[in-house]
Amino acid sequence: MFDALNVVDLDTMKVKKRLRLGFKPRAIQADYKRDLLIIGGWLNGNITSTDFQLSKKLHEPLPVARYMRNFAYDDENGILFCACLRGLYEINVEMLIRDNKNISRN
Amino acid sequence: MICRPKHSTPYDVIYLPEKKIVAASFKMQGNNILSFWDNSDANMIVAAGTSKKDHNELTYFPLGQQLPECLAWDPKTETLFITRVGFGDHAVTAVDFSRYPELKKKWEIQIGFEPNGLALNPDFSKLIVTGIEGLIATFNPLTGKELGGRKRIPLAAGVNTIDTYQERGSSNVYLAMVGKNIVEMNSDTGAIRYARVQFRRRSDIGCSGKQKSVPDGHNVRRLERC
Repeated sequence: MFDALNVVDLDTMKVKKRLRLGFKPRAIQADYKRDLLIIGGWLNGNITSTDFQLSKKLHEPLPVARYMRNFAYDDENGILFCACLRGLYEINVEMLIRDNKNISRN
Repeated sequence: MICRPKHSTPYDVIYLPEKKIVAASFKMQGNNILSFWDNSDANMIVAAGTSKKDHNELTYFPLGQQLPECLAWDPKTETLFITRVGFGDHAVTAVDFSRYPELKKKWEIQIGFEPNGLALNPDFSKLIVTGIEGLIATFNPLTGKELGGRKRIPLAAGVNTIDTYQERGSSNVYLAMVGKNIVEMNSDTGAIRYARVQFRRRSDIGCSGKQKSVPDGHNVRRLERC
């Protein structure tokens, strides 16, 4: 029930797209420069990224730490900061995507 | 090295691009309810420089008994605002980051309702505090003085605020409400709209498969450790 990402059209305030994630999301971060939507799993503590069309995943789920509550983002350098139960983590998103070469971005 | 106490956990985190600092509110895990996990020394702001030269430098700013939660940043005055939740008394605190790593409290006000969101309007002249029970109050970010009357989110839009989001530079603040609604509030005019967001399944981006470990560990780093 709570494993979905809802996309709301801000002109109409209507849900225009909805997708099932398979995990309970909480933190979310948009990177407009890199066409990235980064989603954090509350219970599983994984980072997942997709493009803005929500059409493809950009890397394998990255386990960070459970109870992922909030994100902050350095969009200049592609660095994600995660507040999780066990502390504060820094993730190089550019490197993460580059490391997952088996997943095509095109 | 200063270590944060046991049972201190981050709630909100914010990146301050003008200063290349990441700051997080850490609070005691007992949440003023479970005394065995409550230690007010755990309530603090933790800030870390993100440039290469001060990558491992951490600054701790203790905040006393009330739980530090939501954060908002004013780059003009280099001030970090923090909501703080108590057992019956609730506050907002402004901390001066202009001489970072030296941090200084600018002002602190008791607000009389439980806050659950914080935002600034685009010209940073209004600090908006949203309450867990749908209250909205506006303050002068320079002084902490309350501006105008308090508003309440319409009951039809929901009763309890779960989370607040604001895109930097945007007038609009979005609030997730318990139930099915998202509220949009204009931080300049106070105008409110809301959308009903029902839960149901439709599509899948395929992220629920068997979890693989990351090829290298070098893209994840724990910023603070104790």
